[in-house]
Amino acid sequence: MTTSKKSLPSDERNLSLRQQSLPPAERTTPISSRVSTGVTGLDEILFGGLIPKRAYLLRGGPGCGKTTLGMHFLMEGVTRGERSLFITLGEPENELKANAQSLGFELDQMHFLDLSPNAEFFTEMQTYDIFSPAEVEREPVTQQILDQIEAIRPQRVFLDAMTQFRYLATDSFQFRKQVLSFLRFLVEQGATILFTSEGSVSVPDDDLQFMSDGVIHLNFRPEGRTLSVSKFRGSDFHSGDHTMRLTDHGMFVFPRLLPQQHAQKFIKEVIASGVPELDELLHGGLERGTISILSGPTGVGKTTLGLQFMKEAAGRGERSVVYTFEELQETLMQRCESLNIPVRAMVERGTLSVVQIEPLHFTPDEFARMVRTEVEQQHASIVMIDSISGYSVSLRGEEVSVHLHALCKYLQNMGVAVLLINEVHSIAGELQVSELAISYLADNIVFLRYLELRGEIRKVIGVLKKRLSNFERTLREIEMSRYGIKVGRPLTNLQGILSGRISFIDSPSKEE
Amino acid sequence: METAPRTLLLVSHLPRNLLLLADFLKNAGYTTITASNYEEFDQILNEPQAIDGGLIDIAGFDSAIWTRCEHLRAAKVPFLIFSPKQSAAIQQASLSHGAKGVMVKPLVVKELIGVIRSILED
Repeated sequence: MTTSKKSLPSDERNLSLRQQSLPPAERTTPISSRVSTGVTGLDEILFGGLIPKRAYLLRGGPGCGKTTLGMHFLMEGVTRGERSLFITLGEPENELKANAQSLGFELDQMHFLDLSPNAEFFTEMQTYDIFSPAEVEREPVTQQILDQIEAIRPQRVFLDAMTQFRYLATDSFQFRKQVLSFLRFLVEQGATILFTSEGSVSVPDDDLQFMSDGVIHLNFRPEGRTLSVSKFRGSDFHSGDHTMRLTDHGMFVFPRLLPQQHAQKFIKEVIASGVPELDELLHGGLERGTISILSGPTGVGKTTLGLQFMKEAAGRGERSVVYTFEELQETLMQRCESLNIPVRAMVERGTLSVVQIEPLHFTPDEFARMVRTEVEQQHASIVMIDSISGYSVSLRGEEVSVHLHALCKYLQNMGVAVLLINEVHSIAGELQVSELAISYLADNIVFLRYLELRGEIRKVIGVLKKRLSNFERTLREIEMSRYGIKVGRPLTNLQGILSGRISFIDSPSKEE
Repeated sequence: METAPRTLLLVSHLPRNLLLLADFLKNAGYTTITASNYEEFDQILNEPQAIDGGLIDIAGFDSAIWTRCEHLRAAKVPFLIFSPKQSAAIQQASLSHGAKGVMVKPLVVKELIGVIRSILED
């Protein structure tokens, strides 16, 4: 009790600190006046979107999705009734339109200024070498752009690619001056500009990065596509690499989960399992907003134990979600049905969702987004990850355990009871909570293990750690049958269970 | 008293070069006659008095271009050679066949005007 009393003020202090540090977006430009990029995840990273009437650089190698993001940006403008202009210096208009259509964009209301070289250029009639392109083409190109801008007065401009202007400038100083004055001209016309660069090692685009008000990087690495922001004048942003996906429907960005930015009020109550002896062992059950590790060797009943809590929650009308990384959804459901946990009925009623995660399909950011949708839209109150090693192996990318930590902290803040299934490899022997260094995460550690008693394999359950309440220090026998989970009386006269060398303290007959 | 516009002969294998050059010289106050092959060049050489100066882009022509250059020299028409690259051999050949100077492409507009003006004044 004393500890909880002491911890309360510090919790409050933490909360107020968090509130102070939370609204950087509000401190800068209000979200309402931001310009949406058309990609929800990116807007979230930018704390609401781009600041209007500024110029942003979009950089990335070939095939990274620069043009796709530009389309999203302009289409968002079109749907909001804004005048949007696409200036293309590389890809011709008809090709862009065809590509956009395959992504489901209707570009009828979008204005195009096609400055890409046409096929005639290749023929002798158009070839020249008497003057440099800077001498010959700068003026007509500039004039064309000026005419178009003045005629349309666009609110959104996407220019693909600014680096082409480099060839129209006699030297880098001229280029810098031209780009700056061009961007200023567009901004003065009231436009928000997104322009791309084709930077490479031989022709770096550092100068453009300095000139822009913000820089968005698109990367394509072997472990997947990512998006990051390195500069955003006048606003804070979520730093780091965020997962990005290019699909048939365009671009999707999954911002990295930052647990401290999510919180909701919840009652810190205990969730019972519905098995009286088990609840006695846990002194009531598991609390909301806590992380519990259910640890044990293969086949001992960890998943079933977790689902028992969900069965009880379903009775109260609460929704739970199981993310299964190893077992097939159907197998899991069939198994639970045979153990008197009516998973099919629960799924039908919407109080349970069993989601099978395909290996190497998602990144931790994408998975976190999936979990967030469940929690924030479907109001899931128990989330089970089956299992921790499955999560680590199945999700792509590095630092998977860091992401798991963030996800668990997020769920904790949202008042969700988190069940992490952890499989230990040794069937018997010295007790191990987890091979992975994640036990520090857990508020509660419940372990299951095999026990050989007189030549018969039995199972026992025990509690190793419980942060918010006391717990029973003895182990109990646990049995899983078609009638459900059955937990026995405390095994008070056994010793050496943790070390794996079991012996009776007193006469064995009493215990039997 | 206003002088009549000077006429320049432009020779280049590439039509776009002729067009750009003609456009640019027109803006600078010159009239131009163009030739993109030997036939056209020879026709103009029949009446060398019609031209005040020549600008010859040698890219795409063979060594027969030098005989035409000799004709221009004989007719006392000052001319410049435009070369696709910096080359001592081209420079030497150009000067020995009567060229007033050699300029390497791409040309810088301001520089070109100055050079044309100076060769016409000579």
